Amino acid sequence: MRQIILRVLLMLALGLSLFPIGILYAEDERPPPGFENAQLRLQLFPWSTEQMAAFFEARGFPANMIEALSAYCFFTASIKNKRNDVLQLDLANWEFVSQDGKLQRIPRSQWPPLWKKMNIPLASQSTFRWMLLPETLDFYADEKEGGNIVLRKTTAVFSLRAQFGLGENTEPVIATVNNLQCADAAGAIQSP
Amino acid sequence: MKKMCNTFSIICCMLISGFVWAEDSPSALLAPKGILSIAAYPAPPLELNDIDGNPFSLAQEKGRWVFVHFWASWCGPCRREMPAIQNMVEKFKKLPLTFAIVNTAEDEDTVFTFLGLLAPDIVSLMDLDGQVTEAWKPRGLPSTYLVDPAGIVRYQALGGRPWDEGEYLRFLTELSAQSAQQN
Repeated sequence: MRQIILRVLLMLALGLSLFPIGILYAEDERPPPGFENAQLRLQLFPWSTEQMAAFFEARGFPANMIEALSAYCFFTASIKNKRNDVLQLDLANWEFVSQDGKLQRIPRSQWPPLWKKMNIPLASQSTFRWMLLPETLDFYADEKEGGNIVLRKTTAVFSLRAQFGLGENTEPVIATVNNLQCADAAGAIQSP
Repeated sequence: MKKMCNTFSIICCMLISGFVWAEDSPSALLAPKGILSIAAYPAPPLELNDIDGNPFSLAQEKGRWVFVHFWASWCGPCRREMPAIQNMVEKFKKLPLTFAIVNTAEDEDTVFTFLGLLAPDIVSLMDLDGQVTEAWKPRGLPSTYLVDPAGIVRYQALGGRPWDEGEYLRFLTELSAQSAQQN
């Protein structure tokens, strides 16, 4: 009996853990910021600190990891290759720029040393890593992939200039997204 | 009219010969949409316990094609794909195709709850610290590989796929027939 109650509570917990994502999309019926042309579709879904914390808490991330992550601004990027050939993603060719200059994106390689110093369990490290957008990826025809982009928190309005390669001797595809903001930029943001 | 009949006969002959050729030539399998025939490489190690504590080793599956699938409960496409995987597994119960469904870095309660809701008949392998998944270097989650009877990775699926639909079932049936021929 106790087992059954435990399972029911876990099912409720799973449902609640998915709830913030539902809120994210249900509350705001405007399309997410993005870019689309005949070659690709790029969408950016901002996460507030509360949404991020709720999502990671539900996945058992340790409190110190969540606290460390609250210093950052999260977007989930969704990319679809609409071409009939390969579209090359390389995040080194993405620039986030505000009026004050370039914003710092936190690359995948910067997280493992931090997690090691903080003694973060391998499972949480692994989940966090799989949720990041790959630094480089060749998108096959019609392929759609997504993942998180992490920036230093800022209240500034900024734009993204994302360059996608098409191979040698071919002009890259440039996607531009303007008027981006961290999800809780309007509120008080704690400096890291 | 006679000319039309002749043309029709020629097309029919070509189609029939095409079917015969395809059936006789396992290496000429046409992969369905989103399944890439990749440059072959030996499968990385995969030794894990399932959620019930039973051990599984990919190395012991030599002689059969193996469907290796990585998933996590937080991944939206995984959630959409899992019921199709359960339907497919059901259809392959009596065929020589092994399924290695691997959860990446989640605990037993999360996996039990998730599968209980979406695919109660799936018994997932548990990559508790995510290190086996790391070794396979998937493009993202979900990710599926098809490993041949010699332990060589031959195909990779892009994202989630409708595995219980006709072209996918046919393709996997033909692969499992290859396993049967080799045994």
